[in-house]
Amino acid sequence: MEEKYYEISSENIKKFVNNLIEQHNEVIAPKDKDGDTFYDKINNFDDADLNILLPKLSFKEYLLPKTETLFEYSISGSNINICDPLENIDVNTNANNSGKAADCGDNISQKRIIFGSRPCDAGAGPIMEKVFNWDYKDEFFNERFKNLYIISIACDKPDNYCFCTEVQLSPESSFGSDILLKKGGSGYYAKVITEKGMELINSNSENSSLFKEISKDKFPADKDWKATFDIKKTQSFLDKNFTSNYFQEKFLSCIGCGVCTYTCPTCHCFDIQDEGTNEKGKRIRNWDSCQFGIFTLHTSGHNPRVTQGDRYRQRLMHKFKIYNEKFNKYLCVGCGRCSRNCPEDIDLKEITAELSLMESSNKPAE
Amino acid sequence: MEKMNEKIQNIAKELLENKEVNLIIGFTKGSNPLRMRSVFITDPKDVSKLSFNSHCVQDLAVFLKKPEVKKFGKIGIVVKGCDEKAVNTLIQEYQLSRDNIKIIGLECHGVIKQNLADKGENSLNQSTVYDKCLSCEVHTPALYDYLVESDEQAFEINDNSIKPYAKIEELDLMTAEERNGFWQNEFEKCIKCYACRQVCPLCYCTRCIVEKNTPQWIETNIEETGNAQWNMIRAYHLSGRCIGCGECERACPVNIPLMLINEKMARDTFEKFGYKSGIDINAKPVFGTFDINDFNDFIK
Repeated sequence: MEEKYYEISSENIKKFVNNLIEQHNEVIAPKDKDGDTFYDKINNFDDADLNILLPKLSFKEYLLPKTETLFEYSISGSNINICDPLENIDVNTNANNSGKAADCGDNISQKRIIFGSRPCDAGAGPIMEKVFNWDYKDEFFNERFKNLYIISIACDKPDNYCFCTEVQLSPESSFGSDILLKKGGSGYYAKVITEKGMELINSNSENSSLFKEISKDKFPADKDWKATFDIKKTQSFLDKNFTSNYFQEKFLSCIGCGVCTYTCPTCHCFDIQDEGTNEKGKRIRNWDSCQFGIFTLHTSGHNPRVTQGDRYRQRLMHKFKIYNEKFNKYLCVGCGRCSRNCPEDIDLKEITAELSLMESSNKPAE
Repeated sequence: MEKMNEKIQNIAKELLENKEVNLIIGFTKGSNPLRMRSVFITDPKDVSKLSFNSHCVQDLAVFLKKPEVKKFGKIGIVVKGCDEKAVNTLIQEYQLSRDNIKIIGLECHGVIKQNLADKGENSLNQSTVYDKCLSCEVHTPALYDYLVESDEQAFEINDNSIKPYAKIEELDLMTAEERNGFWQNEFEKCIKCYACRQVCPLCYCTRCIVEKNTPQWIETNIEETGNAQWNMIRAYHLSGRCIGCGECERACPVNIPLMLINEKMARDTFEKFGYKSGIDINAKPVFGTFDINDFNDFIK
């Protein structure tokens, strides 16, 4: 779709969001909860907290829930009932022809609108989409992704943990957003990137009247964001120094919790488990983390990633080398959540910058 | 804090140079001026990295359970009073040999809540410190090989309305259903990142019960049932053991008030068994011993 540009006042953006809520969409926005901000369902525009940089967790759970039900079973006498959350959805077209939700799982086809996300979070969807459609098409992810609409607001003040520009995005990037808003004028300027974005604006005549179309040159130009280090050099270091002692020394301070991976918008590892009894149960997939020792533990007792250094190195390798080699995208949007939330103050920006510097100064790996 | 830092550095240098320890675990400057982090020093030349201030929130005793750290053998560790209680308990529970550890104890008046420091808070006072600091009985560690006194004055308690863990009394007054509702609401937020377990110096099992699947004791789902089971089993395994460093609550990315559970269990343990963990290295762990005089009126 050819991008379209609009202007909308603060008053009208509020009307727009409240209209979307009234139209029975689930609208999710940064929302204050006991002094911290999380993405959560809002019932009114005023519930949203748009003044903060980033919510504490990403909105990953709307694409890959903490626990996703893959199917449910129940047995009574000789009857075996299986419920598939995707049963009404045509796998080829992704269309729900019956218009009905399955009796199990949460409503996977629920239209959800993320309002007020940042460009980094918005970028995570299309990056993850690659791995979920590589050899196997993950219908669960695809169904959720198809029904997720993203209206993001450009950042003007990234903090010291942010490094979106370094990982080839920017505080004003529209990658992954359906609509990107920038503050200015009487409220916001809007860039509509996708058909999904247009669908929201044209969802009724009032909504479309709130947006005043402008020409492209009236839309504020991006600032000249400069990367502070070259991420390609980080990749190059990782490529050559798998056995470097750097990882073992640096990550002595890593305690092996899952905070970095679980607060990460792009980390997507999961673990499939069956839970239930002889009569009733379900197959689920839960978030999992490469930082847990048990993640790679073989049944034999052998563990190819013995130390926490091995495990954090894996995280770096996956994000900045392997994923880029395979999909031509870094598996990182530079949001900095892993660093802000790390109980031991391990700072990913600092590390990637350090590796980049070591590579450019050609410092031999220990 | 300059004098204090210099003393810590000198002790560390001496320990390393005399080969009394192979590794020093201490605090150093972190990712921003109001954050500190751990540092692992093997070379006496690097001791200048060591420093201490009221942003040293981490309990470094957690590293003593890590296999990668244990292999250093003799270790010197910088501890605040609460961290020292963890070292104390590890020794008491035979996880650590007293001969293998040199304790550099610090006099500490309290540490500033990290979520406040992240918003720029830099002053140590009654409303900026963790609750554990308000009820702290170990501003000077009980067990140490070296003691470094603080350069600074303790803050004054001038507002008696601020009570540590005040919510516990509120919860005690609730009905069981209301209390259950409160906790279900909190546990619903849990993402099972296990930061509470990993950051805990006393959660040292090489294989946690949640990782045991023949049978599966704890449901794996990250939903209502699995989350409640995990959080309750964690609390039970730390009852009578938790030394109250508060690291689980600090590390929790979704702000579950875990210390309300831990502190409640600690108060109950004290009330019913007269036992406080982490105080006496020679005491028998309360749940590891049988005493004929233990109260048993719950057996009907």
